Amino acid sequence: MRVRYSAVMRGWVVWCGGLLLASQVLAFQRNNANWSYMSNPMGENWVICPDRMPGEAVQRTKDGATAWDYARFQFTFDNEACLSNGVFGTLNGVNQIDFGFLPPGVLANTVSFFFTDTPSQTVECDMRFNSVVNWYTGTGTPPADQFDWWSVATHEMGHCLGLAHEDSVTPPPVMRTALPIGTVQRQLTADDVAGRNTIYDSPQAASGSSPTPASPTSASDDGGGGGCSLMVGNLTDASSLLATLGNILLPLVVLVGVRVWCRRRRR
Amino acid sequence: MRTWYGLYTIVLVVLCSLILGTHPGHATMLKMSVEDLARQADTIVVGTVTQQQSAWDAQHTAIHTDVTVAVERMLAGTPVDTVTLRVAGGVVGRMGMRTSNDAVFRDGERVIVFLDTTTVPNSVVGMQQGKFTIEADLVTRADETVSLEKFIATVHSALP
Repeated sequence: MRVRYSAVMRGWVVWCGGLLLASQVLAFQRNNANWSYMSNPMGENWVICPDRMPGEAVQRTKDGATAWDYARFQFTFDNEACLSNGVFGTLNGVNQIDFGFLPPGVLANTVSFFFTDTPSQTVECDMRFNSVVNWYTGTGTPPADQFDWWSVATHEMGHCLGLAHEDSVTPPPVMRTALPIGTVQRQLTADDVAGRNTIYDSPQAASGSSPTPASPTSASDDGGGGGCSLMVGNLTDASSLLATLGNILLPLVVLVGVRVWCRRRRR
Repeated sequence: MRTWYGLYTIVLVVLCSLILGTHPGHATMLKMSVEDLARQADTIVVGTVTQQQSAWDAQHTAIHTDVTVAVERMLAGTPVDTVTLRVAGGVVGRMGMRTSNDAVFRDGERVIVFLDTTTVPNSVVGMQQGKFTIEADLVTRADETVSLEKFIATVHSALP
């Protein structure tokens, strides 16, 4: 009975330890958005429409973008202007960020456009914050009944630059789907940084300017709806592949390690 | 020895629970439970995606996709053979549009969809949260998986 008990406990310890360690591995997901073909990714034409935005929302939006800046790119914003006639998700060559209606239960939404013959070259990204949400736009800790604009802006900018939701790593990244009301998640974690760097550290052939959106003439082609949070990461990407392998192998490594340790103790 | 294993177990179970078990809400969406979805939807169907048709809007500035689902079972709403819903995003010609929150469907995918048919066209309640994939009689949404029958029982218990 004693042997059986310890075997069960050992298995339990190994299982839990493996899960804990596996949760530490980088596992960012990509949504296929990518601006690295540009000589200056994120460097043009981000325009905030300040109409009805609460408090310091304009500055907090810029702060959210700044969190992603690094050697390969810096988000730059044009003067505030409303260039999409209040319509969210409009292909007009402007990366518009605005404030308005979204379906109930949604804090913010991001839409990006791409050419099908170059699906990894994003040509536009628009973002909307829901006007019915109770927002906190300060720099401190939000009250228990408000959502932190800065945190959500950081998250949405992650979608625009090419990352999808990721919930399997610890500490929770900016790109996690979970953000409790009254809390903040403004700082990138190692997982966020790795995701960004994977996309932009090895730029595509830079064209120097963004392609001009074509005028669509066909409205009948079959195709699935988009949704970055459900798209599978790029398995040809080395970092994504290594992260996936790490998730699989770490529990096995722990299992082998504990087994070796137990045998040595017996001797 | 037995005491130490017990201690390890307690500590690790607590850590596992803390690290792996906390998903209180969505950064871009407010978390909706199956019960929430069932209460807000007027039509809930189990079926298979048979057709997807993407198109530009009237202004040719945004793309949407109309998804047709062949209904095999109605969990709520007026019985129909097929139902069509609209999601933002899709591909038309050379141009594609993707969104961060809308549901994505695959041709031939077996799904459970929570619909609001008071909108024109029909829409998915809770955006991507209102669509579940069925594979081998298991229902999946993000990292949640339950048996189909248990899922249906949950839906029925939540209906008014």
